[in-house]
Amino acid sequence: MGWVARLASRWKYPEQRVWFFVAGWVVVLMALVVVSSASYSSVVLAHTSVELTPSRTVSFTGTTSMGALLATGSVNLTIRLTVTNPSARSLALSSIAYKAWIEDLPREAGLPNLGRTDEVVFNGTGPQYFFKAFLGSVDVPPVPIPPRGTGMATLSFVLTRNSDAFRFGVVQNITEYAAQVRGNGTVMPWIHWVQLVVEVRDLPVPAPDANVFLSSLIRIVLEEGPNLG
Amino acid sequence: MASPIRSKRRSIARTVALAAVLGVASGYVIFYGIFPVSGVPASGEASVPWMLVLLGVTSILVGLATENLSEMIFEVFLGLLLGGAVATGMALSPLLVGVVFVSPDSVPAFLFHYGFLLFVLGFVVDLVGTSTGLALRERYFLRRGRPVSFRPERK
Repeated sequence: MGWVARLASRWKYPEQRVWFFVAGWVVVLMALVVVSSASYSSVVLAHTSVELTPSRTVSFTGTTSMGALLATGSVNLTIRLTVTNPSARSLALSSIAYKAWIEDLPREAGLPNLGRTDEVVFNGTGPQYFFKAFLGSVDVPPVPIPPRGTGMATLSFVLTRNSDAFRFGVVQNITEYAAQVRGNGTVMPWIHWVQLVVEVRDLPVPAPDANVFLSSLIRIVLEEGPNLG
Repeated sequence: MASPIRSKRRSIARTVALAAVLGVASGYVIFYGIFPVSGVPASGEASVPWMLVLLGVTSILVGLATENLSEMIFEVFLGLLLGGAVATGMALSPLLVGVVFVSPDSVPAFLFHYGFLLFVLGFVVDLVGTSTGLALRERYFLRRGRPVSFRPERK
């Protein structure tokens, strides 16, 4: 007797028939388990595989011929972000935090009474001082990052006397010093740090009172560069 | 007539198999309760009615397939343990695609911490559901017309 015939013979008895329903229900449960596990794995895979490749440009407008920043000038920071998504999830870039430090040559030269606080970086040759010229965080209109695709965003930030007189004054002082000492005030070392929040778009948003780990599951935080403070 | 050893073996196999069914349902419910966004259906908040349906249907079916009360008790307790194992397996499923994101030994404690109420819910529903299933079995399959009895069957 074949297995089909054996199963059919068991269908005659109500007690045996229950096992058919149990087996069918197990198939349903296993499907739920497999689909949920696959969904969870793909989210975790997105967390570990998404990559951020930023590039930044700092440009000056309104400078002297030696590159010293004038009071009417401005410093422009342009950040180009490329996010690569090898996962099967639809993502979207939703917010960015950034900081950029300029090397404080007057401070390193030991000039007194500069009236500012710098971050110190120790390298092989000794301490280097960096002044935080740009910082902030912005929510951006969601930039879609398709599955197995890339998403790009370009953001520009401008530092002028009107936008932040103190920071502008410090950068101006640094460029003036660099123009005198190095002959070009605009070619200065910068350190950049950027943090991106990428959201998993094809998952429902957790309830407001949900646990933190659930919210962090649908938010991928990417960071690049040293955060000096 | 089956020998007592063979009958015992079949009873143990049946108990473990049915406990595994309870375990799969409980494990899924625990995982879904903690990570509803990656469950089926995916939602921002776990649906209690859906969890009750899954646990209820499973436990009643298991109760219908269970032969006596002692087997049922074993199934429910074993199902609780297997539920934890299934939920842990699901939470560690990214390891199958080569992603190590947390220390694997921290996962059971995490699930027990955040899923404690779900373990309790699973246990209670399993107990009530399998009892109901067993009673229905007694009423409709085995002792039609006789009062419901939870005593082990005579061999």
